[in-house]
Formats: sequence, structure tokens, C-alpha cells
Amino acid sequence: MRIASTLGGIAICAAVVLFFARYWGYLDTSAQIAILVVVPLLALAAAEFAAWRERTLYFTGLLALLAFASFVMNLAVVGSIFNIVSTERALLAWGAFALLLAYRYGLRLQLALGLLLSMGYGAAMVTAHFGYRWFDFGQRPELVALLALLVFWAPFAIRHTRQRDFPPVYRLVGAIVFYLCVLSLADWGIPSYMSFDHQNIERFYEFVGLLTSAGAIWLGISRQWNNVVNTSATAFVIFLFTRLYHWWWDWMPKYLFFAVIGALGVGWWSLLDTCVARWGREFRYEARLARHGSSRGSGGKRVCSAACVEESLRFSGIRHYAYEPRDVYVVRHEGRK
Amino acid sequence: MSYDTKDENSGVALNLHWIDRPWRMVSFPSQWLDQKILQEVGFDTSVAPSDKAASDYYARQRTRSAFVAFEYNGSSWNKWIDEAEQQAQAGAPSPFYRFPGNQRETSSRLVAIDASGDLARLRARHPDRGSVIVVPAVIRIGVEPEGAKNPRRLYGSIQEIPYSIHIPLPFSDGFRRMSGDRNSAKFRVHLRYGAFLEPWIVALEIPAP
Repeated sequence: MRIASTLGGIAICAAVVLFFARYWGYLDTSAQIAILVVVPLLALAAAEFAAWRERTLYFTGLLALLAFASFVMNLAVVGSIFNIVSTERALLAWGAFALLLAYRYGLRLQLALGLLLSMGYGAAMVTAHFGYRWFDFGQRPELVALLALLVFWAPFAIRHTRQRDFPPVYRLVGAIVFYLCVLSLADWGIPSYMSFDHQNIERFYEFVGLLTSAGAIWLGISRQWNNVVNTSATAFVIFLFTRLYHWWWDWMPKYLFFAVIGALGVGWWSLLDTCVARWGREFRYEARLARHGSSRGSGGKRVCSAACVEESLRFSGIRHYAYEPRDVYVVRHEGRK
Repeated sequence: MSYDTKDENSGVALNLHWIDRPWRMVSFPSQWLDQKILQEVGFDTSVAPSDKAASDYYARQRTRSAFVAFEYNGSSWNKWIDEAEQQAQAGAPSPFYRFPGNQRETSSRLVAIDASGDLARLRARHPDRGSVIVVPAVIRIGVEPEGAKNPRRLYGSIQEIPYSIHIPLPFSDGFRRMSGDRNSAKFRVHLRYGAFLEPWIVALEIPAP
């Protein structure tokens, strides 16, 4: 339903832009500017009205997307009408508007767009500052990767008390952009800031990709960030297969290569499933205990009530557990089975 | 200049062409963009072109933003067209001048003559605003391979300038009424460039057919 409505919203935006492009040449400049200013404002007013009327935010999301597309068109066409040399500041304006819509109405698609545009602006600003064409910011993936890491960790600095579903979007956008940057450097190392031989840079980033994705899987399981686990597992598989391709493709028979890849794929997903099930239970248990007010004592022990332990065990799905039946229980970390 | 309009887009735009780049061919070396100008644009030219590592070194350098001066109908144009016509008469047209036939009639007569990373310095070198325009540009550096007569050398090329100029009403109606081939249409356009190097059209002359 959400995917269908998003595609519908994108189609409406395309229709508005193409309709304007079809007829704008027959209007004088003042009429063109008036339309460009009025359309985003009308869409914004309609989104505000829809948000006031509905609870599901279905039409609000569509109208906010229309307002965003109209605003993008506004700046692009005004730049074209007055033949203004393009600058990276347009990305800042578009990103700020998308974030404004996202936080005003609680829309995750606008948040993702806003984060992508903000990252683009940050990278483009640095690129332009050093005398390069701002549009080439993607040619230095390390800079974008650094900004992606900042976005990934941003929810620790920005508390989301109202929009509780926003931090996963930050992490997902940050993780995807980071992995894409590392993957591009692992494939072609010449755009790197490092001045080593490009083949060494490519090998380096292959291992960076493997290590960071493995670390992010562990982090995702421990903090119950499902989208980070899924994204990182996919990235890990891609990095691993890239490395195996470089090692084995030339000397191994092709049927054997694909057989090994298939077997490794099945094995990897089984291993990941086991890890998620086991670590996930333990991390859920820990988190539940902490939420119920248990405290960490000396020697790696947890101290909490019987009711707390039983409820936490039930919640986390751990069936067998060793603890001593007393009013205040001392549970050893290493005692869990 | 040529003008551009499409069925799906009712806007009319002029495309700015200059003569030492055949159409929009990317990375076409500009002969006047020598090592000194490339340094001024901001490129690091510390590795000699004859060095074994030069190709890799310059391939790693990204394109840079700069400013380029274009002269309209001046001495550079006269020199270029004379040379092109002489080569055409000698029967050995160079790939630099692939369209010598009617260049004197249809060319934009716009020649890139200088570049710099500093707008004020470039304008100070070319103060005549009536015949020289300065536009933002993107410049690439590379190493030209060794030829039969020439050693390896550094070259620069103008990769991009803001070539499309929007034409508002009422001037756009003049282009819409024009018939025949767009690329060979004859017209004269008067442009002005603003403080932010943005062009706009102030007059249009279309000769009667």
C-alpha cells in the first residue's frame, strides 16, 4: 500500500513538472515566476489541511511530496530563467525543505530525501571550497562516506521523542550510503584521497567493507536495529563475493565457483539466522533487565528481583536459565545457558 | 550559436558554441591552455610530462572550476579562420577544423583565449567588455601522448561552460517563427553578462528571408 501510494505520488510530481515544461515557454517571465511560487505554497497548504483532517497521513504524504517536487522545480526553473550559474546551495535549500516537511508531518520518505540532499550539500560544499566543480562531489567517495557515518550516528545526538520511527531512517540512509561509497572504492581506488597504488587501495577498502559490515551486524543485533542487520548482512555478502571473485574466478572452473558461492550463501544465512536468534535473545534479555531497574554489581553480576528476571526471560524467549531463588537475585553473566 | 526547442518543452534556449572545440567533444585539447595557465587555474604540475608516473598522476587530478575568457570576432578568430582555410585549400584538413566550408558564414566567431582561477585577475587582463566575455568553466588536465614530432606534453581542455541561455518572451517568438534548419539559421543576438556572470538577451536581429 505504501509503495503503491509512493509511486502514485512520484507519478503526480512527474505530471506537474512535465505539464509546466510543456507550456511555460508561452508565458512571460512574471507569470512563470508567479506559478513557480504559488504551486509549492498551495501544495504545502493542502498538506497542512490534510494533516489536520486525517490520522493516517496518507494524503498528507502525497501532498508533501508534491510540495517538495514543486519546490525543487521552483529553484531549478528560476535558475534556468535567469541563466544563473548552478551552485551547491540549491541542495541545501531542497534538503532543508524536505527535513522541514519530514519533521512537521512525521514523514519518513521526506526524511530520507532530506538526509541524502544534506549529505550531498556537505560533500559539494567541501568540493567547491577546494576549487573543484561542486557537481563532482561523488568523485571523492571517502568524503561522502564520512558524512554518511555522521548521519548514522546522528540519532545519538538528536533525541526523537515525538518521531520514534525516525532514528531507523537515519541509520538506514547512513548505512546504505556508506556501503555504496566503500563498495565503489573497493571496485576502483583511483578517486581515493590516499596516494597509494590504486590496487592496494581497492584491497584495503574490500577489507574495510567486510569488517565494518560484520561489526554493524553485531551492533544491529545487540541494539535490535533490524534494518541495520539486514543492510549490513547484504553488504557483507557483496564484499565477500567480490573478494572471492578476485581470488577464485580465474583459476576455478565456473561451475565450481558458482557451486561454492551458492554453498557459502546458504551457510552464511544459516549462520546469521543462528546468531540473530541467540544473540538477539541475550541482548533482549539484557535490555529488559536494564529497563526494569536492575543494576550491575561487582564481579560482572546483575542484581534484580525474581519477578523482573522471570518477566525478562519470558520476554526474551530464553527457556532455561540458572539463578538462585532468593528475594534479591544475583545473576552471573557467564551463568546463562 | 544555435537555438533549441522541443515539443515536450516549450522553452527556447540558445546554445553557445566556440570554435576550437568541435561541437561538444569532451577533453579536446585547447592549444593555448599551457602549463603556466594550468598552474594558475590551480592544477599541480610538479611532475614532468616525460615522467613514467605522469599519466597516472594527472589522471588522478580532478577537473577544476575556473573562468575562461572568450573573444568575439577578434584577432584570434581571424587567425583561426585564415589557418583553417589555408589547410582546407592545401587539401589536408586537420581534425581541429572539421567544418571549414562555411565557417566564415555560420560560426559563432567566439574563441577561448585565456583562463584563470581568479575572476578579477582574468578580467584585468582582458578589460574590453565589448568583445571579451568571461564565463565560469570546468577545466581538465591530461598528458598528450608522444607523437612523431612532438614530445609528451601537458594539455588542458575546457570540459564545460554554461552553454544554454534561456530566451524569454518576446524574443522566443522570433525563433519560433523561423523556418528551415535550426543549425544553419542566421541571426544576431546581443547579450549582457551580469555581476554573477549570468547572461541575458537584450536584442535579437533576424534578417528577412
